[in-house]
Amino acid sequence: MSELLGTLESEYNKLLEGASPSKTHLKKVLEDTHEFRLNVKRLKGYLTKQVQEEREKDTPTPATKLAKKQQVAVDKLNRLHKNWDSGIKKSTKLATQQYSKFQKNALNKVYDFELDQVYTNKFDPGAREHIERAIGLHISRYNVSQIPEQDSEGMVRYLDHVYGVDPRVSTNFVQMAEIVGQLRKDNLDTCMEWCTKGSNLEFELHLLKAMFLLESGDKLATYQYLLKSIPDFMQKTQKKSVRHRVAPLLAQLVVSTGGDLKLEEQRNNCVDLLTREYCDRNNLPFNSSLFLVVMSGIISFQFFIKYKTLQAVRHVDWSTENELPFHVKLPDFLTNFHPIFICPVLKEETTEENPPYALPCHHVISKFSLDKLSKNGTCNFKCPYCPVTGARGKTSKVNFVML
Amino acid sequence: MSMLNEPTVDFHLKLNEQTFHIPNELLKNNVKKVHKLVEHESRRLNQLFDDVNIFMGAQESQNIINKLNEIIKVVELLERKLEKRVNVECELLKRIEYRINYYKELESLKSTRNRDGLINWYQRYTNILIGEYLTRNNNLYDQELGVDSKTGANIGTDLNAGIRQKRKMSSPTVPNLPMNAGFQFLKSQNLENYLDYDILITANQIANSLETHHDLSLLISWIRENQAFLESKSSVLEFETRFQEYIELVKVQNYPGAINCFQTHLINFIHTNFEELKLASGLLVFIKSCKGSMLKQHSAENDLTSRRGFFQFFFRKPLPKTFSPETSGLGSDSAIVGSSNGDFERYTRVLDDERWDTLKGLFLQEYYSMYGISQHDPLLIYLSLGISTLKTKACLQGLPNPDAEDSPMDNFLHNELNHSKCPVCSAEFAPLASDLPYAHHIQSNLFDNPVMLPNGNVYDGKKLKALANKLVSKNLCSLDTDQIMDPVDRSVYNEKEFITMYPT
Ligand SMILES: [Zn+2]
Ligand SMILES: [Zn+2]
Repeated sequence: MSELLGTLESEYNKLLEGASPSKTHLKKVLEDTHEFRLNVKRLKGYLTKQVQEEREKDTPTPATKLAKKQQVAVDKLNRLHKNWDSGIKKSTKLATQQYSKFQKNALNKVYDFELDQVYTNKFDPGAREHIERAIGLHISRYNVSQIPEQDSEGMVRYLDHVYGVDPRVSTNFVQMAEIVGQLRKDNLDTCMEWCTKGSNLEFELHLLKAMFLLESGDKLATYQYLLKSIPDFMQKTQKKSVRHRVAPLLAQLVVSTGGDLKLEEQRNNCVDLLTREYCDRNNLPFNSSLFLVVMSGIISFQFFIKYKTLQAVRHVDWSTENELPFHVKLPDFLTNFHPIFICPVLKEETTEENPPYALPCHHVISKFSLDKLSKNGTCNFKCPYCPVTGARGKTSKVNFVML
Repeated sequence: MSMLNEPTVDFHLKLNEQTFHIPNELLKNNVKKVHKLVEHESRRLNQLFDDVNIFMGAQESQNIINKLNEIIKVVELLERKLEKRVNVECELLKRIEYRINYYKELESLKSTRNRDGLINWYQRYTNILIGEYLTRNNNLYDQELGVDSKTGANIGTDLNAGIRQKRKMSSPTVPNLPMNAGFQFLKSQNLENYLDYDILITANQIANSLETHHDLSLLISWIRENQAFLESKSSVLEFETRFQEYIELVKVQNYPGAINCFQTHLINFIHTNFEELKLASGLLVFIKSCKGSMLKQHSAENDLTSRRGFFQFFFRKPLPKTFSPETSGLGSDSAIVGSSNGDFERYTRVLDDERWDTLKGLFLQEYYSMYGISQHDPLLIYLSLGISTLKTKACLQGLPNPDAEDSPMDNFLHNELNHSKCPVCSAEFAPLASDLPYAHHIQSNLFDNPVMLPNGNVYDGKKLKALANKLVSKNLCSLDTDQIMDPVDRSVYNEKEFITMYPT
C-alpha cells in the first residue's frame, strides 16, 4: 500500500474516533450538552414538584427542611453544570488539537509542491474559447446520457444552455446517448436494432439478454433464447470462436448455483462496444481530445515537477525553449498519431526543415546529415550503416505515414 | 513500471493535496466557531447559574424555577447550534473519506493491472477537472439575476453577454436555471464529493458580482469576515475595494457619499496609501471644479460612468474614435479647467472600468491563497503540460480535414490515417498548441514492414494492403488484387513497386 495513503487513512480514522469509536469530539460536545439539558430538566421537574406539593399540603414543611431539600438539588445542579462546562471546553480544545494534528501528521506529508509552479507556458485569455469547445465535445461524447433531458432536442438544448455546447457538436452524439440510455435501463431492443448484424456487439447483446433471463430465474427461456440466437449467429458470421463465451452461461443453466452473473460488467462491455461502433460509423474520435490531452498532462506532471525543482536550483527557465528538456514515455493510445523518426547520425528528430531522406541502400538519414556527408552534394559518400556508396542525386525525400 | 507510465498513488496524493487541505481548513474553521459559541454560551450560563444560587440563598423557589426554564432554553438553543456544527463536520469528514477511497480505488486498479479500470478512473479524474473549470468560470449566475438597471446598458454592448442572453431566450423550456454549470455537471456525474465546489462557487459569485454587476457588497462582507487573514499578509484588497467604492460614488456625483466613504474608510489607510489618497481627494476637486465651470450647460449627457460620458463632460465634445491615452494630445486645446494633461491621464485611469477586472483579480488571488487553492485553473495547467507532451514535430502541418461534401472515400481514407486522430492537431487544440514547446523524443517510433512508394511516402506495407482490401470490400473504389492506394495522395501503385526500407 502507498505509504502516504496509509498515513492519511489512519490519521483520518483518528479524526473520526476522536472521543470514542465513531464519535468525534464535537459529537461528544453535542451529546454532553443534550444530556446536560435533560438533567437540568429533570431537576427542574423535581423542584417544581416539591413546590407544588408544598402548596397542596395542609401543614407546611418547616422552612429550614425545605431549604435543605432544595439546596441538595441545586448543589447537584451546580455540579452538573461545572462538569458539563469543563467537559465541553475540554472536548472543544481536543477537537482543535486533533485537526492541527491531522494537518501535521498527514497533510504536511502530502504537501510537496504547488500546481501553479509548473504552469510556465500559460494560455492567453483567447484560449478559453477553444478550451470550452473541447469541454463541450468531451461532455457530448461521454455524458449526454446522464443529462436530465429525455428527447434529443431537449438534450441538445440543455447542453447548449448549461455548458454552451455548440448544437452542431452535440447533435452528433445524441443518438448514441439515447441508445446508451436504453441499454442502461436494460432495454436492449434499440441497441439490437441499431447494431451491425454479425458484429461483436450483437453477440454480446445476445449474451446480456440471456443473462437477464437467467437472472430472472427463467432457465427454460434462457435455454431457448441461447438455442435460438447463438447457433444462428455463428452460422451467419462463421465466428466459431464465440462458442467458449456461451459455455459458462450454459453451465450456469445446469448448475443451479447462479449468483455470480457479471451483469454490470457485461452491460458496460456492451456500452463500450456500442460507443466504439458508433464513433467508428460516424467518423468520431473514440476518446475525446480533451481526455487524451489531460491524460498526457497527468502522466507528464511528475517530470515537469522534477525538472522544475532541478531548475529552481540552477535558475534556468525552459519556457523560451521550443522543445521540452526531458522525455516522457506515453502509453500506446497516446502515441502512434504521428511517426517519430530520430536521425541515427544526428540523433535528432526530423522536422519539416530537416526531413528524412532515403539513401540508395534504403537506409534513412536526415537532410542535414546528408548535406554534411555529401559536402552539400558536391561529392559521393558512403552510407554510415552499410558499405554502399551513393550520390546526393540518388537520394530522395521520404515521408513516414502511420496507418 | 506502472501500466500507463502514470504517476504513483503517492504522487497523485501530492498532486491533489488541495482536496484534503481544504476540508481540513473548513473543519478547523468549524471547530473555531464551536469554540466561540461554547465560550459565549458558557459565560451566559455561568451568569444564569449565579442567579440560581442567589435565588437559592434568598429562598425564592419560583424564581429558581423560572431561571431554570431560562437555562433550559439557552441550552436547547446551544444544542441546536451545535447540531448544525456537528452536521457540517460530518459532511466535511465524508468528503475526506470519499477522496481517500478514490485513491484506494486507484491503488487497487494499479495492483490488479486493470487497464480499462484505470482509464475509467482517469476519465473520472478528467471530469473532476472539467467540473472545477466550469465551477470557477461559471457565468450562469448573472443570467439568473437578470439584467439590472445599473448594468443593463453594458449587457447590450458586451458581445459575450449578448450571446448568453440569446442562449437564455432560446431555451424557454428549461424550467429552473442552474446556478452553477460546474456544480450541475459534477452532480450529474456523481462527483460532487470530490471537489470543494462550495468554496469555488463563493469565489465565482463574488467575482461575477464585481465583473458583471460592478457591485461591491459581497466583496465587502467577505473582507469583513476575513479581516484577520487579510491583515496578517498586509493585503491591499481592502484599500482597493474602498477606493473603488469611493470612485463609483464620485462617478455618479454622489459627493456627500464619497466624502463619507473617504472619512470612514479610506482615511484608515493614510499611512499606507498616501499617494492614492491624494489622488482620491484630488479627483473630487478635479471633478467638482470642472462641474462648477460647466454648470450652465448641464445636460443629461453628463454621465461619468462611461469613458464617453466622462470625456463629454469635461471637453464638451464627443470622444474621438481614435482616442487612446498614449497618443492623444487633446489636453492642449481642450477647455479643461485648472488641470494639466498629466492629471487628466491619472484621473481617467482611476475612473476606468478596467479597475474592476483588477479588483476581481486581486480578490481571487487572496481568496485562493487563503484556502491554498491554485491560482490558475488546474485544467489549464494539465492541458498546457499535456499538449507539449503530445506535440510532435509533425503536428499542425495543416492537413485539411475533409468536408461534409467530400466523397465517402475521402472521409474513409482520412479516418484511416492516424494523424487525423491526433488531439494536438484537432480543431479544438490546434490553435492553442502553436505557441507551446514540442515533446522531446529520444527514440524513433515508426511501424513494422516499412515500404516506400514511388512518391516517397513510407507506410506499413501490410496495413497498406489491408487498407486496399477494405476500400474494395466497402465498394469505395476498384483496385486489382495486387494494387494499393496511397491514402494521402490517392495514387494507385502495384505492390511490386514497394521498396523495403531500413530506417534504423
Ligand atoms: Zn546503407
Ligand atoms: Zn498532431
